[in-house]
Amino acid sequence: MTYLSIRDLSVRLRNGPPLLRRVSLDVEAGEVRALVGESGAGKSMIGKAVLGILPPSVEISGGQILLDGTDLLTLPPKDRRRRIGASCALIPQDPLTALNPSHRIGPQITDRLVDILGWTRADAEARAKALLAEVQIPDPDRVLRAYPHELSGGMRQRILIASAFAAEPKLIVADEPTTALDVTVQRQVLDLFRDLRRELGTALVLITHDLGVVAGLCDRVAVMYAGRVVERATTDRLFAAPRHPYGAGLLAAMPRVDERPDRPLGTIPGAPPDLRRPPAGCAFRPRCARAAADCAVAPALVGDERDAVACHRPLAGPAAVDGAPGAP
Amino acid sequence: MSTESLLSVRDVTVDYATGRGRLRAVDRVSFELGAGEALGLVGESGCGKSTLGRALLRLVPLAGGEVRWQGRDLARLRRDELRRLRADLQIVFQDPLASLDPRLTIGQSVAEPLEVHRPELGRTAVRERVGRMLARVGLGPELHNRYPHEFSGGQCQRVGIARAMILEPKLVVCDEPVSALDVSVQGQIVELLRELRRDHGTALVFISHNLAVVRRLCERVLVMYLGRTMEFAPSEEFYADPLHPYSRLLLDAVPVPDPRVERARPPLAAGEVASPFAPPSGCVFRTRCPVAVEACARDVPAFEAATGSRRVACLRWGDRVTARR
Repeated sequence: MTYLSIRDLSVRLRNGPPLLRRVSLDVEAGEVRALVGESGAGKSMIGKAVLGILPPSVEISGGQILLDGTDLLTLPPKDRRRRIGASCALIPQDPLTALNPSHRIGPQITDRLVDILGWTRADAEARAKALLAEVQIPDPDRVLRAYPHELSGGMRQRILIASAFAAEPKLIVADEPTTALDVTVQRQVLDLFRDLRRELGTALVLITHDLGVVAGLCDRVAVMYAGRVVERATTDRLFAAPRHPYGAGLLAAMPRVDERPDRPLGTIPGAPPDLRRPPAGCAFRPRCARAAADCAVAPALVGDERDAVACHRPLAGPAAVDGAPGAP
Repeated sequence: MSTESLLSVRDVTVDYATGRGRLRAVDRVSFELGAGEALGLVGESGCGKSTLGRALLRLVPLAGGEVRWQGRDLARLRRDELRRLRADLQIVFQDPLASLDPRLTIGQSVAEPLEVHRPELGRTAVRERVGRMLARVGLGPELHNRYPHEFSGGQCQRVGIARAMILEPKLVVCDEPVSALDVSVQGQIVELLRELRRDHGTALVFISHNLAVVRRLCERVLVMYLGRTMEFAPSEEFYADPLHPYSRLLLDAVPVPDPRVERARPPLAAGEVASPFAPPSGCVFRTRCPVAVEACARDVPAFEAATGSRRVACLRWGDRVTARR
């Protein structure tokens, strides 16, 4: 069942250039969906649009965001906030700044349950304690009374994760949740996502630039470039046979720790475009080895939710994919 | 110790005075680096790798030990000798934009080390060298008069590398030079560093938390934890068969862009870094170590010769090797 459906969503700077162009994307109930891309690709903007937390300088210029069948963008602001608050949560990137330094940890988890969802204080505290134990935080009672600065970065990120799962939301948006962490802590967080997801069946939108993080956790992937979805695929298909030259380039550019460095890394020349001055036609064209004259016209995203590419000259299809089917 | 070492680091110790008392950031670290070699310094944040990098350049004072540069103690160099040495020893920082002077064009930024260290060169010669160096890192002449804020992170890092390489130094210390960059650009910079090393024979100390990047660039790896060295090994031996349990933990944590590998992974019991203000007795890693025994709380393991040129600080590495056979 489709829980979140984003249809032709466009977002722009007020009176300025577009940041997202007709983005379409479905997330099934309980699915882990990755949004992959480099800085400026627009992946965080999608998460913010869904959660209704776009910065004031940015506006939605078209499209629909259907949450469990209801278009959030047609709801009055108050209803929209209530609906999002009751069923969605955010895990932000930076555990060092996302917690209020002058408040103890406990209320930062429980206030939301009490104020928005109407739980009793005692229920909320019991829930917070159970969740901290779940995310393997030793001595939850002490931690609930602690201030953020008394805890390590890894602990704080686990607390933010516990806090996001606290109200058993249907959908969590995790925006680069492991980027600021050491690899050892990152691995713990990935293990934790895997467990919580299995136990609670929460849908997760994982925003990341790291394909290594995508590989073990996600069912399907949307690759973003310069404000557009350029490829949608199951995780297995993307890693085995990427079709957009950008996705293929990203995979080839990833150094692997389990591989001898015998061949040079693949490189993509140039840098992601400046969104204030987007190139005409396919935005990847200036960096693309396969580009030709027709790439001056932007290609449409053609295909379905499991397999789609926006390219006039895509790489060979997924004929040779093996492994388990990734999508539910 | 070999006399042909470019850099010889012996029992280097660095202390910081903090509000909570003395912090030993680097604790008796020793290693050798030959001309043209690349060493990766790895470990979690707070392990002391960046501080050690700065100690090598005399940017922080030593509380103990010595750094010898081509056989000479860095701490005993005269001012003019140190100045000459600065030309041979360069650093590339993590944040490419913050490490460039915003008031200088990139051409001026890259020319500056030449003007300081090679005053005999005329303006034409400087301009010619700067042009060649910038072309080498992929920045064309049309960009020489631009300012850093007009550049992307990857371009700024190219400028930082050009600035470090313009004097043809013998050693460049790189402190997380690709961590702030996009994946596609990170690959470009890693390949650039590889080529520059090959062409100029520059030695590298490459400080990074990214073990996959270190494998691509470095022949040797030094693993640090809470200021101490855990393992020192040739890269390929290290990646194929790490001897220290901490090395194993670090390698097992790195995500691999391959769904079959990642889905088959068992959960990792990674634990938490102990407080550097109250490091554990004996082996500092024992509180997270899956094979620790009682003796590990009592005895500080020596950083001792293991197989070949490898060294390891672990009471149990020998048991582990025997157990596997």
